[in-house]
This record gives sequence, structure tokens and C-alpha cells, in this order.
Amino acid sequence: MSDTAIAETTARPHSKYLNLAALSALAHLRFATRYRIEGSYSGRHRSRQRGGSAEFVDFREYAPGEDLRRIDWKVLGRTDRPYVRLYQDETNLLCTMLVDASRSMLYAGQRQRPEESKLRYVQYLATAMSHVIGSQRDQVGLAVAAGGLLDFFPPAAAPMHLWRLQRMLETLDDRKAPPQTDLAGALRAAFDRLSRRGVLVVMSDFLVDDLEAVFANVRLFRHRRWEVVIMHLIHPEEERLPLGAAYRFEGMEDDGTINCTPADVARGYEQAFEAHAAMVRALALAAGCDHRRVLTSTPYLQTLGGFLVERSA
Amino acid sequence: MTFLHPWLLALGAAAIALPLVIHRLTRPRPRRLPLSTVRFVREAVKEKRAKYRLRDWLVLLLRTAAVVLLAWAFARPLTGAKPLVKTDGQTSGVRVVLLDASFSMSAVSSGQSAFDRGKAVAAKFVQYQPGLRADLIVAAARPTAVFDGPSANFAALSDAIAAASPLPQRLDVQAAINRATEILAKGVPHQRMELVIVSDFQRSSWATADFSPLPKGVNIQFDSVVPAGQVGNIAILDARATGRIEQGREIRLEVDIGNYSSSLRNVTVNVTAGDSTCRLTGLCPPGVKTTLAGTILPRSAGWIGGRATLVDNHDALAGDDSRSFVLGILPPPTYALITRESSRPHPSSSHYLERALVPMPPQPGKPGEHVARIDPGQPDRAALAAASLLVLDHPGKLSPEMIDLLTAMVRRGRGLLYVAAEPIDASNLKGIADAAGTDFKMPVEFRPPLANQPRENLFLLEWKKDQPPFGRLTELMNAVGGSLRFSGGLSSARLDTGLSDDVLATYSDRSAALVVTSCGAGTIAVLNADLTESNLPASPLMVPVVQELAGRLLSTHATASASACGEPFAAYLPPDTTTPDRLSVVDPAGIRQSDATLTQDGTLVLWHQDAAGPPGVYQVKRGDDTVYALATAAPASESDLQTLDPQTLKTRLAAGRSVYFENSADQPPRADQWTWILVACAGCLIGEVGVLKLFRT
Repeated sequence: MSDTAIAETTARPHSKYLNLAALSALAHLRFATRYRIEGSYSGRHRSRQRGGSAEFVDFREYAPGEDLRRIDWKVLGRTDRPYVRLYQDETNLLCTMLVDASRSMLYAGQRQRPEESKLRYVQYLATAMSHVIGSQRDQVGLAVAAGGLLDFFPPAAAPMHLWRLQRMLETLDDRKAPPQTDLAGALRAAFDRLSRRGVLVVMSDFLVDDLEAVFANVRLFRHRRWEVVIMHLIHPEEERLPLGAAYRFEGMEDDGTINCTPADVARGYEQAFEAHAAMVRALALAAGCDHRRVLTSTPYLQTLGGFLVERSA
Repeated sequence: MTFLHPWLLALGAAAIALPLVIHRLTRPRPRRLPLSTVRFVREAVKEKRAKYRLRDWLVLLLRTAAVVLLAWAFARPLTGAKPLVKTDGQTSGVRVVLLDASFSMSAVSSGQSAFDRGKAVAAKFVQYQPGLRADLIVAAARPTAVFDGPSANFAALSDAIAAASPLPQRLDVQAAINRATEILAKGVPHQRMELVIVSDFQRSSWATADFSPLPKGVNIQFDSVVPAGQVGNIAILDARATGRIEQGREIRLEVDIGNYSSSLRNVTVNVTAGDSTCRLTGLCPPGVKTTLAGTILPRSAGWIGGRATLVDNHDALAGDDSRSFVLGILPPPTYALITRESSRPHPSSSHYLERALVPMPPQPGKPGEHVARIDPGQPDRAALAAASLLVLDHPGKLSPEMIDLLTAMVRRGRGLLYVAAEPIDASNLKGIADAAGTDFKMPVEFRPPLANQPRENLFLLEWKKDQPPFGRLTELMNAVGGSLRFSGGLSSARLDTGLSDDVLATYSDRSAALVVTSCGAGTIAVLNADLTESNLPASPLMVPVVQELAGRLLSTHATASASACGEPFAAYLPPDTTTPDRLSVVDPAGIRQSDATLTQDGTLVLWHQDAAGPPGVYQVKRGDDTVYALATAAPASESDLQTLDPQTLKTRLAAGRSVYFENSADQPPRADQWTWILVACAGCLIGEVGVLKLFRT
């Protein structure tokens, strides 16, 4: 980063969802991948490439035509057989956060306070995660999904890029989301734009009509050896219906209204919701994704901390 | 079904909408809430919709039913059919009110007689209504209508009801219905006809009622005045003497007690007859007639009245707790033995008969039985007239005058015992039969025996074991009867004109041994045997057989039962009363009866009357002498207060006519179902809670 850029960045106010003091507690943690990745620059993450300058990994018998400089002569002297030394190349992380900004993410419980919505939680969580990733000199990108792919920032590590990314997250709730969620289309569009493999973090409530289509596109990433992390966001008041004599529930994505007495349908509702959550989990695990059920009642720092701790381990 | 407050039904109909209104008013106002997971709510609602729709319908149904039942209960439904006869408002037609005034209507329950209740009920139906004409029939043994046809003079009808009283008579239902039919027929054609019957509907009277004479369109309303659970009744049904009632001889009195209650009763009856009294006590099982018996010893002859009275009996019908009866006490019998044989005590047929008729000579100075021997050639007419029983033995050829005299005496009630031993007796018997004419139908014709068929060593082949003289001698006849041997007498041949049952005993040659046949008011017995040629006089059967036979032939007219009040009756005066001249009938109070008729009927005097008077003893007097007496009493059938099943009246007896049965004595019996309806209403509400609970779980 050039001095001009640093100066420019420090001059701009950081996102209101970025709490640096709180994030300082997570400074010692780093976003680690479970698989070897492919980065643009040298970094702290294991690369799929194996070179000669980095950390020794193993021996392999020499094959004719290989670079003679890689032969370990000491081993040849001891064994009379040529072996080549293998080294792990380290590279930086390319992480893309796909954030669901559909109308269902605006659900904020009975009190309908925007600061308790799932989208607000995603704003905090994604901002914090981008800060953590950026602070370890890794590249982070952002894809905003609603009716399709609304915005896309390819992974980058520049401070200005980070600032813009966080700025976009800050203004997510100012956008007018289309009535229908097309998470599958957004994934497909993102897949088409991302050429290098990395980590895809999907933050969504997965309240879509065709869950199979969503995970069909997730599997595209997995086929390209992407590491996919599914963060299933659930508002606590979504798990069970509110108490009361009668409600007129209004769908948030143009799916009509319905009058009912919650007590009459509570059990059926809970069963249907749990079946949906179980379906998301099952599809995620079946696709080889990392699945996390994120309750928005859990502080986002705790969610992020737990995630990073698990990754660091 | 009718209602006490029918206007509440309209209110109830309007109130059916109440549950819907309440449902709308109390339905919670839904709170609007955006929800991201509406798809799951819709899924759950879709799954539960059918179930909750069923619940909502059930709740609505139960709630509506509760409201309807509540309105129904407050409207006070009256069960049973609607009365056919209205007692208020305008009506156009003829109404006949039939008020039962029979003896059973005087039964008292709860301090009020059924007749008093009936009067109150009947009075409701003879009040003025525009367009109505009515008549009243007070019915007992004879129905009595106030007017000959329907009238608008309701005041007279009300006065007639007020003046009516129950009579000690049975109810002639058919006569009353026929009278009502006549009155209804006098109404204007095609007008409404109503017959109101106010009665206790006693089963003994109404079971055979036939309503078919009534016009087809008549509306019949039965108003019963008997309350439920009526007190039981104990009644004296009959009081009588059995056997020959004779001065100086103990008389057996029998009193029939009817126990029409539900429990066994210990009954005491005081019986008085002239200056003699006796007390009868016994247990009377419920539902049956019990006969109590006792004896009295009359000291003088003549007609005496008596009374049997229940002691300490408190029941529904007091009028049947005592009953009058009459005893005609006869002097000791006198036998006229008409024979040619000598009165000298030697073994002869007449001697055997004389000793058998009076085995013990009378004590000096006391009245007793005795035998007067009479020569048929020179008959002593005074002795014959005083005789209670005529006995003929070896009389020889009787003169026609003698035959006529004897026949006339028999027809007036005397008994005659003819011992047929000689062939001439066949001629005498034929002469008696000819003189008696159609009054005497012998079952056999006696003929002189044929010369080649000697009548010797005959034995009894068969005899009537259930009739005198053999009825009470069964054991003795079984022991000794087979050893009896008879000779002499007449042969006999069966006659189709007579009754074979009059042949009481038959010989081994199929000839008649003993024949007893009535003749006018008297009886003739023929003993077909020569006693001197038979071993009967030497057997222990001689005296009892002759005594029993004489007892049967002697007059028994004094044991007649009491006549039913209000019913027509006829009775022959004793045979010694030959003319109705100077005879009069007096009632129990000693007042001469004007409606009694005494007429000559052949040689006898007949007393007949269209309706027997109130209970008591009625006497036929000649001067101060009583020549005959008769007791009247309420019919015994009236004492059984059991009522007829209303269903029988409405279905079988009414023959498809429009009928309505009401028990006026059980008011208010019909508006008591509202409590059950309220219970059903509460049940609906509880059911609603249960449905809600069920669907919630």
C-alpha cells in the first residue's frame, strides 16, 4: 500500500459497523483455510503450488526431465538414488463474501427494530470479517445478492478496496431490494466472475423458493475446489411464532398475508421451520461446505470469534 | 307440542344469530406483523385447516343449540297433545259434556272426591263461548241429559253440575255414549262437534266402551279426575247366607271382601241380622276376593234385614264399607208323606222314608221337623198346604184332582219327592208331567217294567259326584255305593226334550235311578226303587242321601243376593203369596214406593222395578206382615278403582277418532321438561368447552 493510499484511507471515516476496539480482541486470530488455496501474492496461507523456496514438505523420486537443481544430493549420496525435495508454497487468501440482502433479511422480530434485523447483523458480521481478513493482508471481495447479483467487488487487499467494500456493506439497507430473492442466480453470476479459487462465505437466511437450485450453484464452487462456508442466519423469533390471539402475518417478499391464531399452528410451523433448517444443513454438508447456524441473538463478535478460533485450530 | 310462553320462541329464533354476532364481536382483531417465514405459516395452516374448520362448525353448532335450547326452556314447552276442546275464545259448534256420576266417582283422595274434581272440570266446559251450544249428561246406570238437544243456556248447565251428586250405581257407558250421539246429531250439520268425557275411567266400566255410534267428525276429549297414586280400597262385595235358612238352625253367613289395595290387610267385619250379631275376621290378600264366614242362630221365622260393616277401615271409597242383605228365615220344614201304607212302624218303604226324613223326633215345646202322613184317597188340604216338601211313596193310583193339586203346589215352589216303586207310579208321573205342561221336562220317561225283564239286583253304575245328594257324600258313596243293590221300580227311556244332566244316578241296566227336574218354581225328584226290595234302607247311606235330597228340594229363595242400585230387577214373591192384592213395597225409610210394580204371573206374583233404589232393604208388605224383602247395594264392580290405560282409550276404543286425554287431577303435570332442556343447554356449553379442549390437544 502506498503512502498516499494510507493517507487517503485514514482520512476517510470508517464504517459505522466497524468497531475497531472490539475487534482488537480478535487481532491475534487469523482466517485460516482448511484446504490449500490459490493466491495472487505470497502470503501466510498454504498454496496449491509447491516451489523451492519455502517450507520443506517431502521427498519424491526424481523423474527424468526435471530440474536437476531440485535433486537432494545428500540423499543421493546416502542412497544412490535421486530424490527431489518438495516445498510448500505459501500464498495469500482470496475470500469472497456473498451477502443476502433480500427483503426477508430485513425481518427484525415483533418489535420491528431495524437494528435487530438479520441484515443489520450481516452488516456487522461481514464488516468485521472483512476487517479481519484485510488486516492479515488477504484479499476480500463482496457479492450482494437479492433479486440477483446486485453488486460485486472482486477480492482485493488494498485499503481503499476495503473501505469501499465496508462502505457498500454500510449502505446495504439503503437499497431497495427486489421483491423476490434469487440467491441461486447471484451465486451463478458470482461464479462466472470469480476466476481464481478461494473461499466463499455465503451469509443468507436461505428463505428461497428453490433451495436445490441454490446448492446446485454452491456445488459449482466446490467443483472448482473452492472452500464454501454457509452461514445460515436465523432470527430467534423465526424459530417459533409469537404468542397472541390472532395475527395477520404479512409476507416480506410479496408472498401475501395470512390470518391465523398462532396457538393453532405453532407446532406445525416449528416443524416446518426446523425441517427447512435441517434441509439447508443437509444440503450444505452434502456439498462439502462448512455449515454454521447463526442466531442473530448471538453477538456477531462471538460468532466471528468462534468461527476464527475454530479455523485457527 | 304447545308452549306456555310461545313468544319466547320468536325471541329464541332471533337469538340464533347471537353466536354469530358474539363470534364476530369477540373475534380477536388480528395484529399485523411482517414475517419472513410466512411460507411456513401457510404450510402449517394448510395442514390444520380441515381440522379447525370442523372444530369451528362444531363450536358454532353447539353454541347455536345452546341458545335454541335456552329459548325453548324459557318458552316452557307443554308435553302431550294439544287439547281438542278450547275453554276460551270463539268456537262454533256443539259440545256435549258427559259427567260420570257412578259410585266410583265418590272415591276420596287428598280430601276431595273424584266427583267434586269432575264437577270443577265439567264447569269449565259449559261456560259461555260465542257460537257454542252445549248440553250436559250426568251418567250412571242411566244417562240423564239436562236438555234434549244442544242449548245456549249455560247457566242451567252450570246449575245442573252444581246440583249433581254421585250415585251408588255403575256407569252404563254405552247408554251414555248413545245419548251423547243423539244430542250431537241434533246440531247443525258440518259444524264442529265436541264430546268431553269427565270420568275416573274405571276399567270395569270403560273396558268395553264402543265409540262407533258417535259421528265420525266428533272430537273426543277425555278428562280423567283420578290423581296418580290413589289410595287403595277395601270393599264388601257381597253378604249372603248359604244353605237352608231355618228357624232354630245355625245359618252360615258368607261375606265377600275385595282388597283392591297393594298390601295384605287384616279385616274385621261386624254382621248384624235382626237381633243376632257376629264378628268375622280374616286376612285379605291384595287383588283378590276373600270370603269370610260365620254363623248366627235366628230365633224367629220371617224376613229380617241385616248389614255387614267393615270395622276401622279408612280407604278411598267409604260407601262400600257396609252392605245390606236379607234373610228369609223359614220355619222348620214339614213333610207331607202321601202314601197308602200303614203308619204302623213296621218295615215298609214309607216307614223307612219317614225315619230318614226325621231321624230324631222334635223336642217337646220347640218347633221342629215333622212328617204328616196323608192318605191320597182322602187328602188333607190344610196339611198339604203347610207342607214344605211333598213325598209320595206307594200312593197307588192318584186321582186327577190330586195330581192337579200336587202339580200346582210344585209349580209355586214346593219340592216333591216321588219314590217310584210300583208300575202304577209310571201312570202317576205321566199325569203329573201332563198337568205341569211345558214347566216340566223330564229327561226320561218312566214305564212299567216288562214281565220278561225283572228288575232285580241292580246296582248303581254311575252318579253325579258334584251334585246333591251325592256331592257331600263322596267318601261314603265310594265306600258303600258299590254294595248297594236295588230291585223293583220302573224302567226308563231317554227323552230328547229333557236335560240329561237331570239324571243324577243310573242303574246297571241303564235305567234312571234318580232324576231331579225343576218344575215351575219347585223341583220334582224321582227315586226309582222299591225300598223294601233294596238294601239301601239298611245301609249308612239312607239317611244322608234322603236328607241331602230333601235339602235340595226345599225352598232356598231366601238366599238371593242384593240387587244392584239403579238397575232394573224382577223377583217372584214366595209361592204362598198368590195375589198382588193389598201388597205394597216400602223403602228402607218405611216410605211406600210408587215405582214398584207387583203383577200376577201365572200362579205367582212378580215384583219388578225399572231401577232399584238406593242401598237398603226394601220390603213387600201386606198390612204389617212382610211377605218378601230384598236388599239393594252399589254394584260390587264399582269398588275396584283401577283405571283404564289412557292408551287403550285413545287407540283401541276411540276407533281412529280425534281424541285427547288429559288428567286434570295431576295439574300441573306437563310443563316440567324445561329443567331437562336447561340441562341439555348446559350440556351443549360443556360440549363446546370439550371440543375446544380436544382440538387444542
